Amino acid sequence: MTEKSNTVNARPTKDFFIRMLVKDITLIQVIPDLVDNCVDGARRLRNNEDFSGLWVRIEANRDHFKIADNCGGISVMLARDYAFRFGRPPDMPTEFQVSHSTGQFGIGMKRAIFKLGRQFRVESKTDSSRFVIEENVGDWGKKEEWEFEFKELAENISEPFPPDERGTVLVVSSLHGSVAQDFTSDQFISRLKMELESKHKETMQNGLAITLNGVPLQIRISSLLRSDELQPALQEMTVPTPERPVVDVKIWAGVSESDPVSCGWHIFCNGRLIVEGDKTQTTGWGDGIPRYHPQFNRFRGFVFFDSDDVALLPWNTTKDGVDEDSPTFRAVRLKMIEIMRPVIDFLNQLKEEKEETDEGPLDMAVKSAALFNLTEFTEYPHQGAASPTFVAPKPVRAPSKPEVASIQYTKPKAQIERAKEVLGVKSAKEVGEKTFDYFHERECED
Amino acid sequence: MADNDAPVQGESKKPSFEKIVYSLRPSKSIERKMLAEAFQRLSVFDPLSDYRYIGFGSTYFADFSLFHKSLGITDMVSIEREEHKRERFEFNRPYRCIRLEFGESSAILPKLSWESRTILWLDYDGRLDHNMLSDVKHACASARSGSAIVVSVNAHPDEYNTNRLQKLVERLGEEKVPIDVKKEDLSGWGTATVCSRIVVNEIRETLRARNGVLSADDSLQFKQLFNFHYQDGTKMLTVGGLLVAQNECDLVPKCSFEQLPFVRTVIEPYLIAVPCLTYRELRHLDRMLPQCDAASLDCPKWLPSEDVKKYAAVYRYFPLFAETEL
Repeated sequence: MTEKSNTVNARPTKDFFIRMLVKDITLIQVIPDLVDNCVDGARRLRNNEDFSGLWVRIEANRDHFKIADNCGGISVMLARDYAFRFGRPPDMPTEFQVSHSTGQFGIGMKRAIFKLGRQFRVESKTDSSRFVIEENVGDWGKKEEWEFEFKELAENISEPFPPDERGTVLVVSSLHGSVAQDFTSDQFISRLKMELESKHKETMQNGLAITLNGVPLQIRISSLLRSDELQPALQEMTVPTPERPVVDVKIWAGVSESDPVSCGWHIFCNGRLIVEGDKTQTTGWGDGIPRYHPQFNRFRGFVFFDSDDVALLPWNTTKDGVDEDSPTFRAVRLKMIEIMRPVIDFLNQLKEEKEETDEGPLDMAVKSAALFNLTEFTEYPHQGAASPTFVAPKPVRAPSKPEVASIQYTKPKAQIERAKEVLGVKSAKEVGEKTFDYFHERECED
Repeated sequence: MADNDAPVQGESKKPSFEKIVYSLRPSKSIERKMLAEAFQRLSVFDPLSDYRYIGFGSTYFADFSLFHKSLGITDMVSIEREEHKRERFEFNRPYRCIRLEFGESSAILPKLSWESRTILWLDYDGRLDHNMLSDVKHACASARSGSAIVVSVNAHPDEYNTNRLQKLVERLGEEKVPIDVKKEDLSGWGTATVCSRIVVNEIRETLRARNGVLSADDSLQFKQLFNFHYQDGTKMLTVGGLLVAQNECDLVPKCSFEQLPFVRTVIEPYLIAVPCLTYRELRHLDRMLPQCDAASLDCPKWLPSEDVKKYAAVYRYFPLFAETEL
């Protein structure tokens, strides 16, 4: 050391971004992250959140990964100063900010590129500008500068590009070995499709069309059962924050089809699903409420957090979990527990009823209710279709029956089958009952 | 049979050995002999007497008898789920060297030792489902290099007026069904084609995970050898091949599998077609065979040329059924 200095070096290294940051996220998560950028483009383009006519096309194969959209493109100005920065500068002009953004951590695209491969090319066209950036990640890593260079650049183009061409194309090539292997696996591609369909179901319901390797993604609708006697709970609240935009919260809870996977809580931040079918303490299970049990497979809860300022939303940068330390989430979680309680009680009653009879009033209420789409519902919140607390029929206490005991025994299957034929019944249970009646009638009655 | 309980096209829930006389399924019989002929070539890896055979022998043990007699395998395990009929299975066991393991294949396969090279034939009669794929996974997670894994399933399309794609997803789980499969793809032999792809995917996916901790020399590849379509009433699929470690890959060409006309290393299937001919006609044709060009055979005009062609392809494996008093 030649010179003593009063400071210590805390500057970031490129290697940290290229090799370390990518460890926080799985391959299957980075792709929905890239779609977030397209969705932000769509939001910039269509404030009304009607995305019909807009598309995102994703290609993943052995040689390359490509994501293309017609969501308006990145302007040269936005690209030059903000879009490629690691992290968002706090002084970003409001004209570049997207309200209700999902892609504004300033990390998604770079982290995705580094996760995927060693060579990338971004081409973007707006109505009046076009640029191309092409870079080899390894070469860039060796350079002192943090800038990427425009390879091609055109501004203030007099003849505007047609609307369908205004968009961004990102291609990553020289894929990492394991990535190329994943992209040739049918099972991985199926999982990726499922992941995209669930993470972006809100934006797809708003009209954004997404394809993966030419196959259109299906919209997975969030739905609850509803009828006159069975109504889901809906509570809305606004979390005020000093001198900043607010967070709007909508909480739904009710019953739906019995499904061990999608049962539980689903949490969305600005329309992006971050928690799916949660059945843990995070969402209140086992905290004043029973722990998850298969009898609750009909339970569904949906929480929508929306805010102009993404920093206020309780999510993490990988968008795969809630920030449990967020005061907003803590307050909302209490509400969730409160709203969930009557639904859980109802499902317990339903189970008790089923042990008595197959077609009790609670069961009939569930069977006669119809599924409907939550997103449609939020557009008409005041039609009396939901109530602040879950509404369900009361259980009917069965009149007290004579005391009974059950008998169980095992007999050769062939003999039981034969007895079924003779008795003209379908189940082993009926064979037991009828043969008992037969004996009782002949030998026990006076 | 260690298979699932799903009701199958035109069949009741009875186990198949109670409703089909195994030895009278001509396509199955041909397939069995073709498999035996391919397995003979595994002697490049190890003498076949050192191999182990695992199968579902049922009460007929047709595969066991054939592989014991033609391959000389003496380490044989038959997995049988119908434990309550244990005595009957024991009674029908044709050779002393066959060990019976009672239980579901999913419970038995992980319990077996996998030290010796193995020929495993998961010969289900139900439709492909997630339990079968987990059997495939267990086997591929443990089997040694030089082992053969073969899977047979019912590949008859689901009923015409059902959503065949949805049925497939229900049986297998969404993740297992490739995203480009459409419901129109599942008619005719389409279900078989898709199922064969799904089984091979499961094998490759399992090997890939297993290779994660193996050295480059030990890492395993799957070499597909079989993709049979056949039909003794119901459309059936048999798909399978070899697991080979990188350091034994040079043994594969020495097996000369490509000399066997029924070997299929790609998605294109080999259809086992059974001719409809009388014994007198068969004997007449036998005297002119082998002959690569079936059209050049000197046959009476009234003999359907299609049947002659079919017979020329399978005559060495063709079963002769006769009524006898034993």
